[in-house]
Amino acid sequence: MPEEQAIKVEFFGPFMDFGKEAVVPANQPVSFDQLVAALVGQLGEPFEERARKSNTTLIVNNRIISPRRRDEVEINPGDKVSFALLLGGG
Amino acid sequence: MKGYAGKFLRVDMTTGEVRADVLSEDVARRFVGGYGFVGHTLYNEVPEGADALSPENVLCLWTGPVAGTTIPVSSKYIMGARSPATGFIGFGIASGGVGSELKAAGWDGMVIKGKAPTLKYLYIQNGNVELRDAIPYAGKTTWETEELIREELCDDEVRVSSCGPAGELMTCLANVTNDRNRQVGRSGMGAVMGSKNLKAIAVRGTGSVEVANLDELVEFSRDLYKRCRGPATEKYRLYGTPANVLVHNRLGCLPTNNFQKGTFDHAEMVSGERMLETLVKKVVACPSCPIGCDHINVVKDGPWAGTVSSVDYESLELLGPNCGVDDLNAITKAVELCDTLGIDTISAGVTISWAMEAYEKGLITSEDVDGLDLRFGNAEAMVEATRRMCLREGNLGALIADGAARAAEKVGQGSEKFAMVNKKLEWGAYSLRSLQTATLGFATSVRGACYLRSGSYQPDVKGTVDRYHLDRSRGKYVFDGENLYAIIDSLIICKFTRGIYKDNDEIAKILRLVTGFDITAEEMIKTGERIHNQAKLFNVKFGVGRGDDYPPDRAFEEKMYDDVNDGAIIIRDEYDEALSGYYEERRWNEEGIPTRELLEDLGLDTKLGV
Repeated sequence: MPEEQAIKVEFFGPFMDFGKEAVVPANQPVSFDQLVAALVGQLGEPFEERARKSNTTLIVNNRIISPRRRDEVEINPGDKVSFALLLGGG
Repeated sequence: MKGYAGKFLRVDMTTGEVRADVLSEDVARRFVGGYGFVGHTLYNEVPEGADALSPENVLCLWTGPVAGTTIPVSSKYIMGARSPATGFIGFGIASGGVGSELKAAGWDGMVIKGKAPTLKYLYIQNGNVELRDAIPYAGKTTWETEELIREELCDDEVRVSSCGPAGELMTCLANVTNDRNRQVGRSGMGAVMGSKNLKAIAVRGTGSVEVANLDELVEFSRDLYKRCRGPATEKYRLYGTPANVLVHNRLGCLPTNNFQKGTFDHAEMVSGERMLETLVKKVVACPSCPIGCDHINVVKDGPWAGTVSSVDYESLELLGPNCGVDDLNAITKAVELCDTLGIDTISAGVTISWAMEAYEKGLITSEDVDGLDLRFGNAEAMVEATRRMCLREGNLGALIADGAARAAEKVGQGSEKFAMVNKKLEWGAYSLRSLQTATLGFATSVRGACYLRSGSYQPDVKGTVDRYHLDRSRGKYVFDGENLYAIIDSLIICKFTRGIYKDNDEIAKILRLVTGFDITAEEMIKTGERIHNQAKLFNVKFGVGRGDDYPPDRAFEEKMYDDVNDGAIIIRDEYDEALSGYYEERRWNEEGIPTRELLEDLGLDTKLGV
C-alpha cells in the first residue's frame, strides 16, 4: 500500500501485546476515535479498552499529543503514530 | 510534635561524641523535613569557605514527617552536604527502608561533623547510638559491608547505608548505597562520608511514629494505596523507568554518543520491554510501597554471567545509548560495578561517554586510556572503564574518576565544550536540544544538571509547549515545578506517586493529617518556595552566579541531526531570555541572586540578598 494511503502505527510497552506495528488504510484525515476503531477491527476488542486508558500516550509524527487535545487531533494519511504509556521521570 | 520524633543526633566524628538535639517546631513548620531540613542545616552550619572534603563540612541525613507512617512509599531519607562535585549544595534521596527505620528508632535525622581518626560506622539501635570500628570493612563493597555489619550485629533486619571503595577514595562522584540497590546517587555524598572516615550508618528501630489524626490518615492511605495500583503508576509497575527508552527514541530525546544525537539505531536492543523479557528476574518494592518499580536483572550467560543489578532508565541510557552500547548484559554489569564500588551511574555514564568522544577525536591517547579501545559502542571497554573509574585505577581511572568536567579541565583542547555538565555535575538522560524547557530546569537546578528538581521535561514531552524553542514564559513551569517538588522532597514521598494526587490540596492534606499543622495548599506551595530559596542561599554563600545556570556549550554550538531532529539547537538569545524570565518569576536579580524583599517575605536570612 502506498505510504500516502495509510497511517503507520507502532506500539510500545503493553501495547506490544497487540504486535509491534500495524498499518491502517486511510485516504483522508481521521480522528483519534476513528483510528482506534480501525485498529480494533484489526486487533480485536481488547485494544479499545487499552487505548482509551487515561495513561495512554499518543505520539503523532514524533510529537506527543496532549490527552486534552486528543479529540481534536487529525491524523493524516502518511502520518506515523505511536501508542505508549504515559511518560514520567526516570 | 506529631509526625516527628522531635529529636535528631549530633555526631562529632573527631571526638567520637554522639548526643541528642531537639528539633524545634518552628523549623519543622517552616521547612517540613527532608530537603527543607538539608538546606536549613547546611546554610546555618557549614562554615563559609569550608572545603567539601574537609572535617568542617557537615553531612546530614534527614527523614520527613511521613516516614514510618501509613502513607504509601514514604520510607525514604535524604543525605546532604556541600558537594565535592559541584562546590554547591549536594544531596540525594534514597528509597529503601532506612528512612522509616530511623524514624522507628526515634530520630528525625542526624548532623555529622569532623573526621574520625580511623574508619568507623555509626550504629543506631533505638536510643542506643555508638560509633564502632569499621576497619574490617575498609575497601569492602557496599553489598559486602551491608552483609558483614548485619553478621556482626547478629541482626538481619538492620538497615545499612554505606559508601564503597570509591567513597573511601573520596572520588567526587561517590554515592551511598542502602538495601543493596538503593542509592543516594548524585553529587558525591559517598565522598563526604569517606572524608569523615565514616564507612556506614546502620539503623534498627522498633518504635512507631505518632500522627495527628490516625483514623483519617489510615482511611486516606487506603485510598492512596488503591490509586497506586492504577494507571498513573502502571509504567513503573510493568517495566520500571526503562519504559522510557523507546518513547524517548521516538521523540528524538534519547541522548546518544555523548549527547551528539537524540536517537539510537539499536534502541530496541536496550529497551525496557527487551530488558523485561530477557533479564528481569525479580521485582522489588520499598517498605510501604504498592508499586514495585525496582526491576532486578540477572545476567545468565556470557562474560558477565552471574551479574545482578537493578537498572533504571538513567543508568541504562547513559551507560548504554549515550556510550553507543547496545548490550544489556554489559549495562547490567556496569551498574553492578557502580552500585557495589560506589559511584553514581549517571555521572559514570556521562563521564565515560566524554572519554569516548575525546578518544575518538584524538584528544586523549591510547596510553591515557590504558590501551583500551575506548570507542563508542565498545561494551567491554565501557565496563572496564567503569571499573577503573570506581577504583581510580591506571591512567584512565586517574583521568575520569572525578567526573567529566574535571577530566576535561585536565585534557583541554576544546574537550570542555562536550563535557555534558552543569555546575560540574553530569547531565541526566534527556537530550538538551530537543527538550528545551527541561534544559532550562536542569541548568538552573540548585544541585546541578538535575532532572529531579522540577519535572521541567513535562511541558516538553506532553506537548504543552514547543520543545524546540524557549521564551520568557518557560520560567513559570520551572518555578511551579520546583516549589511543588521541594515539598514532595521534604515530606519525603516518592515522585513516582505524584500522579495519584488529584491536586496540591491532597498533598497538603497529608501534612495536616500527619503533623496537625493547619496548612492550606497555597501555604504549602509558599513553604516550597521558602525551601527552594534556602537551598539557593547555600549556593549564593558559595559564590553561585548566572554563569552557573547554563547548559554545556554543545547545546548552543552544534546542531543535532538524527532520525527525528533536523538541526535542533538552542538559540542563545532565547535561552538568555528564558533564564531572565525564570529569575523574574523567582524574584531574583539578573545574576540569579534572591532579593532581600523576597527573603524577608519568606522569612529567610536576608544577609546574602540583594
